[in-house]
Amino acid sequence: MSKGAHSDALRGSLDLLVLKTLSLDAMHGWGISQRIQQISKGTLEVNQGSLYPALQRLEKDGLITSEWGTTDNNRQARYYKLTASGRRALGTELEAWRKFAASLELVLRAG
Amino acid sequence: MSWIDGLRTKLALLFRGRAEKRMNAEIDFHIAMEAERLVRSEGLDVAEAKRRALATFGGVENHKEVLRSGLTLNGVSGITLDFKLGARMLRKTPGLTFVGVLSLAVAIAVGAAYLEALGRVVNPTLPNTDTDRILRPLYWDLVSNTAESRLMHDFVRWREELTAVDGVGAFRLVERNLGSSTNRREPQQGAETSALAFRLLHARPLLGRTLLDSDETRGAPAVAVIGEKLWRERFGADSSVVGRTIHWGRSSYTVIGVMADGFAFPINQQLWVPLVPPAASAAGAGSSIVVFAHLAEGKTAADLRAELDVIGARRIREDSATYGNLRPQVKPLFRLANDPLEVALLYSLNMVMFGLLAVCAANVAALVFARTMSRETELAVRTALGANRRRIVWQLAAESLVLCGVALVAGLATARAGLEWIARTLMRAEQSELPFWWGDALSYSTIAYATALAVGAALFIGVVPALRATMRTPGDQLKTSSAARGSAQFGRMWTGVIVGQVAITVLFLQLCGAVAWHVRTGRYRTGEVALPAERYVTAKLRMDGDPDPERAPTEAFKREFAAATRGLTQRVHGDPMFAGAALVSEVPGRLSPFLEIEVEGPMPIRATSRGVFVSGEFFEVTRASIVAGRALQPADVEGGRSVVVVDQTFVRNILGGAHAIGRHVREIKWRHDAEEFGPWLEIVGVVSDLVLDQWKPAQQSVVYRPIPREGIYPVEFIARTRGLAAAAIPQLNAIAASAARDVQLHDVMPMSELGTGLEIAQGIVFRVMMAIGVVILMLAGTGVHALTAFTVGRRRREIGIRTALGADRRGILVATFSRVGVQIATGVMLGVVPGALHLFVGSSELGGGIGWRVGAVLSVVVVAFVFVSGTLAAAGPLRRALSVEPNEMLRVD
Repeated sequence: MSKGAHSDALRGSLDLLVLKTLSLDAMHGWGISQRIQQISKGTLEVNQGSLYPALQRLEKDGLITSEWGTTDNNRQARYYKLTASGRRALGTELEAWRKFAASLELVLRAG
Repeated sequence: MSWIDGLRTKLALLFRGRAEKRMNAEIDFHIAMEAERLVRSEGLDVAEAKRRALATFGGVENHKEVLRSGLTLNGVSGITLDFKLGARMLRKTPGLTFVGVLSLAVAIAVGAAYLEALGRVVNPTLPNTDTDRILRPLYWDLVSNTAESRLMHDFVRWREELTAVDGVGAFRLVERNLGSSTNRREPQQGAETSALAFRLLHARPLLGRTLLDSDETRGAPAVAVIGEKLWRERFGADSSVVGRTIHWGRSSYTVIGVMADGFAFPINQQLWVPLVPPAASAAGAGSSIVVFAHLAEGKTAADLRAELDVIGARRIREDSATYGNLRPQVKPLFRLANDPLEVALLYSLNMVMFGLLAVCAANVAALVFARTMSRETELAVRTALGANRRRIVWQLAAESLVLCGVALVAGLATARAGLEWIARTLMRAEQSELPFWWGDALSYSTIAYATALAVGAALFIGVVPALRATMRTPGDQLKTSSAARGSAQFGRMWTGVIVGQVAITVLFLQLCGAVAWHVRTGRYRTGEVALPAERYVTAKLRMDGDPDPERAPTEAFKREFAAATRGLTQRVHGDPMFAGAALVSEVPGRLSPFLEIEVEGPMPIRATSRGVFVSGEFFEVTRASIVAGRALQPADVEGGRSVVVVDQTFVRNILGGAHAIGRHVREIKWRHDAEEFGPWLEIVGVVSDLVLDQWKPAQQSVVYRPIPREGIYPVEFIARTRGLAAAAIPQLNAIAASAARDVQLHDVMPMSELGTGLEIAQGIVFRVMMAIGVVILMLAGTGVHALTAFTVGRRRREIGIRTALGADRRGILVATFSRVGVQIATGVMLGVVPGALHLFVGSSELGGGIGWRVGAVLSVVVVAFVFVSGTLAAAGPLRRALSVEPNEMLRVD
């Protein structure tokens, strides 16, 4: 599959990826994009600019919160972290995703 | 809670500037971090790394636009649209808008004005002052159950002992004749006060200076500060007033300053002189004062109370005779109502206002329901297009919010203006001034309360009808609406509201009518004075040097006052502008105190009458007709004879018309739950009634007694003038200024103006009642109109079929109006019965007790009026019912 196809698949699952990334630690936007790329070994490359509307949307839904903090190299950055609702939503979304992936797998195997 | 977190974020994003700054900072940070990574991992130069970072990020401005579009609240645009539609709906249904806004505005205005007035009385806030830290320490007398006001001794000691406060002061109110070398003498209220008051209220003088602590020392020059109002009215705003000498009572003072408007400590005073404590003052003696203190930093009222308790216990050990029954208390200084029970009662009365709003809201809700049901098609289409029930209910609630928002603004404006008008009018009636902290603007708490009322009313008015209107499925709605036959009913709840409204209307109109009857017949007054009132001057007389208005005057003081007032009446009697003058405890037209009496005889009669003390000239001055016997004469006073004169009402209602001359009466007093009898007094004469009142019961009869030789204090003055009384008033003032400098003349006015204050107060009550009555009547009328319109709208098809089958117009009318008529009749019955009972046998103080005949006529008139109003309100829809075209209806079906 091409890189572009990966990006298309990613677009619909960006919220889930952000929630999963933030479940490990509070992080700023650039850090989130790097972490997703790093864990997926470069397979999932987040369109960096589109990350911020997703963060804004999740914050407005009360699933994450944010506050200003200082990075290791002494820069001011906006740090995002999961709320309790966000953690619950992550569980639900993961379950739904796994069911969906399993169903898809069954169909593909049968084919 | 996710929604709280989300809401916080949404609200923060509404601040555009801050949100934009945050967005730019985040993107800049992201690109800088990415560029740094590229420099570090791929060895690019900084410029190339930044270019690559920007490219990886994607179109920055595009992403910013996406972020900006998310800065508004979700659904804000939808909400704005709902409010716009709500405003449009106000214009579309002007009748409902007018009735709804007017009735809700009146209810909100009444509730807000009452709460605001209560707040200003119970919990006033003075500008630039920590009002709640200015307290009033006092002693409460457990035996008399009153505050002990003779506190001079304690004031002096508290100043040295109390540590919980950083200042202790005191004041006493004084009223004396004020004059200057170029000015007339008139009674002027003022205060002897500690200079602390000026400091606590951060008062700045307009001219000169305020009082200082040094002015309170014994031997300091006698100085006075005057208020701006007094300076303008009595001194012509003369800027050279500072340094001038004024005479206030028997003392002279040098004016040292003029205070700007806004300072009238402690209530509405305009003249202040230092309160100089005497060299020695015994505990529990001396004149009445009010002590006030300011809490020190970090101290509370409880600390002060605890300290006073310790001091109080010590006082009891030192002087148990004086302090044995006294217990310290601490109260806020500027509260006009301090009793917690009284305050709770006053606040609970707000429930009445709340009830009024509930009634108005229920009625408007009925009207809104009727309108909502007429929009069935619109709602069905919206539902079919995907709007859920919640969305539709919100849209209808938004419409009500707009309606109630307009009512809120109108109500608050009315409350502000109405409160101002009532307060000023009442003060004019009382010839008094408002407390100096009485401002014009409504407090934030009142505005918040009124807003809560409006929002509550809006939710009720919007949501309840909306829930009922959206109960059915869209399919049903579309089916019924397209078939032009509604299946929805004007349910029991709304029918109950209209019945209740009619009942309240009938009850309230009966009450209004009864109050109007009482006012017209003078039941709330003593009645019309049987004298040419425009030819009599009346005044209340007091005396400078009054030792203490709260204590009974001494015999020596009363004798001095009696001599001075006698001198005044003699000088007035000899003046060519006057035909005579007399002294009296209460002039005719003012209520005199009740007198419990016993009339001697084989069957002693006990009754209540009114007792009036008069000087020997009184009957000659008033030209009362002597019906039997003789009038009281100066010799009766001088000789201290035990005689009385009674009026014709006494003979008629107490003696049953029997012969009065030579009979004896005596006063009955109650002391410690036991009767005490005064001496027997012989009736020597019967005079005509000086007060005409066709309702005059026995309690309004009068027993005239001669003023005792030692005089009474205070006393009233009545003089017959040769011309119009108003023209003689300056001459009376001039005589008083020269012949009786120590006598204060208060409320000098022609007798024709007596009772004006009461009439003004009654006028206010009557107008407020009429305003409420009009609103209730209007609501009932519109309720009937809505019900009839709704019924006709729902039954158009049935009416069409009936007409097609040959039903005549009368039959159609009966069929359509019968339900409405039954509801009006039920409401009338529910209202008229308790109303009539109140009119027949209720208390006259509460607007009842006007008698069977008048009560019955009034009730019939009210019932007829309500029926006619109800029929007129239903006339329009009924006409529409008669104009239904049967062909058209059948074609639609």
